[in-house]
Amino acid sequence: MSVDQRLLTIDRDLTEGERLLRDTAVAFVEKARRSGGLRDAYRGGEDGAAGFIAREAAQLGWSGILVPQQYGGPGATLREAAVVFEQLGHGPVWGSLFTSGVVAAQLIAELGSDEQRTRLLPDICGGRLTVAPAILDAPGWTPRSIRMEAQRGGDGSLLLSGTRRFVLGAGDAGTLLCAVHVDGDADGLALALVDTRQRGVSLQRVDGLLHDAWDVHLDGVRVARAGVLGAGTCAWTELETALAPAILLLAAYTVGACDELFTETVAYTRVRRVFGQTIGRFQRVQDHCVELSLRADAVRLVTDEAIEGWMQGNRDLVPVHEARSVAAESYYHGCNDAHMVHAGPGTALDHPLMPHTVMSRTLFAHLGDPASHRRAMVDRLLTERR
Amino acid sequence: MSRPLTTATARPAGDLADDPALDGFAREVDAFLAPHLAERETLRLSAIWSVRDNRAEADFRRRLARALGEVGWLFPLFPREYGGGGLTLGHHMVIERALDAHGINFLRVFDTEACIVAPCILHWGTDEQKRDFLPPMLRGEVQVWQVLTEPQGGSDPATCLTTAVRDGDVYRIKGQKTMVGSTEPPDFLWTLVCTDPKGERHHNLSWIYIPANLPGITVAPLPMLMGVKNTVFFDDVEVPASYLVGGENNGWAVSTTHLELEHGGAGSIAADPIPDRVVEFCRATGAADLDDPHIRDLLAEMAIDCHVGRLMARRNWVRRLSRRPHPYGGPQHRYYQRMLRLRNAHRLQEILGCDALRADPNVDEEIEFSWLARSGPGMLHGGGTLDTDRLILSRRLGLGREPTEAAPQTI
Repeated sequence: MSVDQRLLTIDRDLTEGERLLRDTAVAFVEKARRSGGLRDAYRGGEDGAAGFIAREAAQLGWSGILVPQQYGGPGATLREAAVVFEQLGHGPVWGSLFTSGVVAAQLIAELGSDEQRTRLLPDICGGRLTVAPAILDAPGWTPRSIRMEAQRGGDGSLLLSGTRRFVLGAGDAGTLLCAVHVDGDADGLALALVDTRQRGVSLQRVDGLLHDAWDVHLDGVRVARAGVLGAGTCAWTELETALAPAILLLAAYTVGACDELFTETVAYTRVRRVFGQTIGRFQRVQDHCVELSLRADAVRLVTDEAIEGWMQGNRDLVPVHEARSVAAESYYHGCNDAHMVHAGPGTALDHPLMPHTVMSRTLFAHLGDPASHRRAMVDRLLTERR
Repeated sequence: MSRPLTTATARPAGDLADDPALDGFAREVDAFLAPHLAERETLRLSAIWSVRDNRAEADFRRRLARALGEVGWLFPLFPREYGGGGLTLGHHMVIERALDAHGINFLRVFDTEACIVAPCILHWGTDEQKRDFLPPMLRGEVQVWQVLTEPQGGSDPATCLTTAVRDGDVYRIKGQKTMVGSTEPPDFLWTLVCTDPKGERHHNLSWIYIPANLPGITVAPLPMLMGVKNTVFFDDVEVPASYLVGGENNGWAVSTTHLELEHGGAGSIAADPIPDRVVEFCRATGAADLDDPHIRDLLAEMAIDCHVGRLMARRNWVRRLSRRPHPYGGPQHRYYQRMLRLRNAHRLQEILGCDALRADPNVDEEIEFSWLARSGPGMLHGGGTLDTDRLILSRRLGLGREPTEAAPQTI
């Protein structure tokens, strides 16, 4: 089904430039699908699509889509980037263009020194450097979700040991960006760039209902001062604020994914005949689709509003938490709704629904689980009212 | 120390295994099983629907099934003349409990669907069919696949396009069934066919028991979220007419027995081990803070849901074996179980994050977190969908009209 035929309403008209971006992203997703690597990629095997996606993204200038032109990026606005990521969610096309190109690039751009921005961002944008962010150790979205501790040397270097689990995209990354506490400081953080070829670094792919997740083992890995972002420490709120655009793009990705789930599920209800009629005539099937439409519209509405607010310079994190929570839950439960309609055929590993099922689970707690974002949202609201 | 979350507090009413007169039999069963189950301690068991391919486990299960079959304990209630135990309900319950204590599901001692097929043949077969078909099944010697779903039919098995045309002493079968079987090749197929393509719906069907090695049968694996299923193609397969069970065009009546057993009416006594496994995992790894009130809420909800599900399953089990089938217990439990898996998979991810998705071959598959994560969406179907469960449940509850369907007798 073409974009224009999609059923869910897009209330905001796209600008000419945004339409061009959208159409380019649609073509990218189609190309990725035709490459044949997508389905294999989500079946838990080697990721045949990752290289293709990274190359295409670099050619399109999307390897660091938000990065300002002075650092080699296209300098897209958050809204423009959201148009692209919404289409990628339809695929679902996932890879370093988000993990490295948005999350890591955003942290470097916001929390790195100018020397670090100048040194690292052009390589990320050019596809020459892939940085896998390795932020959290546990479900949650508080400083306690980061457990790894590093020791700081007299020269400002950091010594890292421990295991950071479920790092997305680490297998293709030349560098890891690890958030750690330093010297027992429960609130202060440091962001350390770790070369994956360095002695003491080992990676292990995680097997399960996950896409491209890795356990990263660090054994006495020293990171020189030049590899520690910015002034050497940052507060949790600085990290949250730096990552807000990334969280909103993740929500935009989910908008596309939920739209795809809804559109494909409705299409199926029109052609699948059981008990002598199309299944869309059955009230219970209609109920599943109605639930799915609610989820798809909910994530679109809160994400659009949050992005609009951010674009206008409002740095309130409440809408960001809300968008992240609604996005994660909508994608997760939206897949369940779709499975209720697609039933058996939808769980064949080569069915187009399956990559979404894997991604909805993989991304559920990525950049914070929904319950933690809900709690953070309420904490902020109550604090402000006091 | 803490108490397990999933231990039932009382025996179900009507559990005849509590009869003191069976104490001696229980000791006999334990002594019999001990050597046969010794190997189990080193095995990590697969789930009923599995992504694992464990040859050692398959061999262990076949050996255990044959040992039980040899003394009539694989089908304790079946007549001795067919290889059953000729025993009482109490004896059956004793054996099932003893196996459950080792994590073995009595209905699936090994990878066969004989637990559904044998009762159908006992109830609907001719004397000759019972003599010919039942003993190998009851001795645990044959692997039987029920092959029911058709690509176009889905939850509607009565719209059956696989045809069986009578040609002298044989039926010629053409068509296909999908999402059936497992990785263990079958010896026999048990399937519904259309024997009167022009006949009235529900009055044009028949069940037939088919040797799986007949010419014209091909099996193509179908990788799915919960493991490998298959598509079975019938290309003009000649099956002796004597293998048709229950009478020509009487297949829908036979289906009542079959579907009740498949659709939750069988019941079970096993506890869901997931809540305790979560606690054990968190304590061992620190993956989640068990003092966090939110985590405790989730654990409590998980434990209560599992407990209710267990009680439903146990009620169905007692009612089936007491030959007092619960009027709506089968589809009720089946629907509850499907939704329970979805809810618990979500709770698990809330508690454990990505740890809820990681595969772990070092534990039994049913306590592997990624199995639960997969089983949420992956087991919304199978023997119909959750919507057909609710439809049957509604009919049995008499919604909008007096109930027109009763739970059939099975065994």
